[in-house]
Order: sequence, then C-alpha cells, then structure tokens
Amino acid sequence: MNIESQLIKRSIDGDMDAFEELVLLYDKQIYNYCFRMTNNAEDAEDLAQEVFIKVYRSLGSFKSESKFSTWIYRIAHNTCIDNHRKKKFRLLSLSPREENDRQMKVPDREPLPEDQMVSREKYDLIKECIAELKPDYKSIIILRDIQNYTYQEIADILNIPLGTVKSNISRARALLRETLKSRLAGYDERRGK
Amino acid sequence: MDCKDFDYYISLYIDDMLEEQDKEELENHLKQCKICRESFQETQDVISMVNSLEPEPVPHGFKDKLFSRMGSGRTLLASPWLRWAGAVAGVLVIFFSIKAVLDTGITDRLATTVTPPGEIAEDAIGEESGVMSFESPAEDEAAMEVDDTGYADIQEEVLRDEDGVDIISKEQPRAEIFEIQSDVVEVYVQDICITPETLKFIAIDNELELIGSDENSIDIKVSSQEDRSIIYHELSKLGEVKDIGENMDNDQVKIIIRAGE
Repeated sequence: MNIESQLIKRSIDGDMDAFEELVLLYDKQIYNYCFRMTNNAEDAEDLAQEVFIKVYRSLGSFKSESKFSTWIYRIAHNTCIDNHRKKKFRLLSLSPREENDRQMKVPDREPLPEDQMVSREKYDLIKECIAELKPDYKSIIILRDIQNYTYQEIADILNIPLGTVKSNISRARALLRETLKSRLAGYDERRGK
Repeated sequence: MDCKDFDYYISLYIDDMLEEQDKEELENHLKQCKICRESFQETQDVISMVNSLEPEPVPHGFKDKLFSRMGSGRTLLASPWLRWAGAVAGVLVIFFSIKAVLDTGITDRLATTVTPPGEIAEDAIGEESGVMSFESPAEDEAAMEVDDTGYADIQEEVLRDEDGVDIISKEQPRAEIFEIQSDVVEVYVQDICITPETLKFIAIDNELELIGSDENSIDIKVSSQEDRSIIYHELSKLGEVKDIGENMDNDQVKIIIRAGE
C-alpha cells in the first residue's frame, strides 16, 4: 500500500493528522485548478476548501480501485462548475465575453504579431485569455496544458468520452490561439505599432 | 480534407494522439501549406506559454481555515449501517421538532427555522432522500454524503402550509438530478438558434447514437447511465431541463426543444 492509500485509510478511520497530510499532498494542485477556473484568489480559496470538505465527508465512499487524483479532480471540477452555474443563474445573463466563447471563431489566419512584449505582460495576457474561455474548454486546457494529465485521465476526471476530450482540446487550443493573436494585435495597436 | 480539418489534427499531432495514417496525411499537408505550418507553430507556442505559467501560491493559512470550517474532532463514518442509523436519527429529530412547534402553537410568521441554529450543517450536501444534516459527528456523516461526482447544492426556503404555518425550515438540501431518468425530456431554451441540428452536433460530439429527428426534437439511443448523465450535462448548458417521460427503462430518449420564458 503506498503512502497515499495509507493516508486515505487512516483518514477514513478518523485520523485527522492523516487527512491533513492528504490535504498537503493536493492543496497546491486543487487550489491552482480552482484559481484558473475562477481567475479569482478569494473564490479559488473558498472553492478549494469546499472541495476538501467534500472529500473529507465522502472518503468513505471512495473506491480504492479508482485513482484518488482522478476522484479529487472530478470533485474539484464539479464544484467549480456548480459555482459557475450558480453565478450564471444569479447574473441571469451571460457576459458578452462568455457569449463570444460559445461560438468557435473561424481562424483569421493572420500570423501572430511580432512579439515585442516583455514576458510578464505576455503571460498576463494568456492568463486573461484562459479566463475568458467557457468552463468546459478552460478545464480541459488546465488539465492538459498546465497540469499535464493524459487524454484518458482527463476523460476519467471530466467523465466524458475520449473523443470529446480530443475534440475539446483541439477546439480550446485553437480558440485560445486565435484569442491570443487578436489580443496581441490589439496590444500592438494601442502601442502605436 | 481542407485546412480547417487539418487545424483540428494539429493539436492531436502535437500530443501524438493521431493515427498513423492521419499523421502522415497531416505531415504531407504541412510540407505544402504555409498557413497550416504557421498554425502549427502558433499552437505549439500557445501550449508552451500555458505550460510555463507559474503556479499560484496557496493562500497563507489555507489549511487552518479549512480545518476551522470543518470543525474539530469529527469522525468519518464508513459503515453503511451507521449511515442509516444516523439518517433515521436525523428524520426523527426533524419529526419531533416539527411536532414540538405545532404542539406549542408557535405560529410566528417570521420564524425561519424549526431546529436550533447551528444544528443544520451550513454546507449540507443534498441526498436524494432529502434527509437533513446535523453537526453531531455521527449524524453529520450519516446525513451528509457527496456522491462521487461531488455535485451539491443547498436551497434556502421556508415552506408554509395554507394557513401560513411554518412546516419546515431553511437550508434544506435539494435533491439534484444530474442525469436523464426517463425517455422524454424537454429543454427550455432562450436562444432561438438552438435547433434539432444543434442537438445533433452535441450528440455526435459526445459519440451518442442519433436515431431520428423532427422539426423540434431528436431521438438518441442511450446505452448507459453515463450517456444519460452526458445528455443532462449538455442540455443543462442550453437551458432548463425537464424530465417528463414515464418510461424509465427505454433505451431511447426524445429531447424536445421548447422556447424558454
């Protein structure tokens, strides 16, 4: 039995120290997943805590044949989606940005403008572009390109067919590429290039 | 195949997820097409930028806040028997609480809770049984259970009978359904652009088998609970989903598009 399995077993038996260690194993990943999904530190902290509370309360129903990381990510994903739905419901309407995300834009085929930006600004832009993606695309980009999960692991986490993972990754990346390209063009225009 | 198709393959090619034949076809195309070569390079650049994003530091005091939210000294209960015992205890407490309120004739219209504040778990997780949750460790775990999807929701409401007497109180866990149960569902959409064609694309995208369609509905084959869950998940993105069929054993689901209010 590996350390993680031992920690899970001890946590189920009520050992809070073991659960604390389990939290420390995953807090960075789960917090970062929630952060990228919400693009807001306060919401991310709140959601990540909600995830661990759900994990704690449902550890007894965790099936040891499943991978714990897949299970906890699925809880994190569903918690973030729940949160998104509640927020959307509260706002009653989509923001124009989200509305735009719903439509896959046809690539304009213009090459990326010559990149003169300092990397910090460029990374801020890419963060903004990720934040603007619709939740399904955002989660797939985070899991694949930030957290390096395999296609099959992503299918397990999101509980969707492998074919959907493939098409969503392709679409999300193409959308991200085109959004970034147009933002970079806008950035250059503002700088009078 | 045109450049748009190759654009779809580029991402899979980068991850080495293409079949050998498609891979060769794409490589040949890239040799000839400057535009796709640029797209290929740009996609690689974007992936590498995303991949190099620095992780955000976990906020200071995260763990302490978490454990303070959870309360201390809780015990996890894995035994199904204890869960049932706790659930029964919870139901009995609710029953006697309501009875006590009715017996003492309390009809305060502003009262929002029957059970004392704090007894109902702040972040109770809904179960299909609708059993309420309590802070006491045994009952807490018995009544609060997250299914492995982690979905949860809480509905705040005050239920009253016709005479305005409070029947039951706030923060009642709502039993959310996250899959299609029957063989007919309606989806109430705001967007007039959503047609059976839209549903067909969603079905194809999710590898669901399309059986038929008419001017405002489509029929899909469902072979597993997972299919039902996917259909629910996808439809809920379009609008309010109402499960209206009566047959729970049919392996087909009719999805009807209705205009939302």
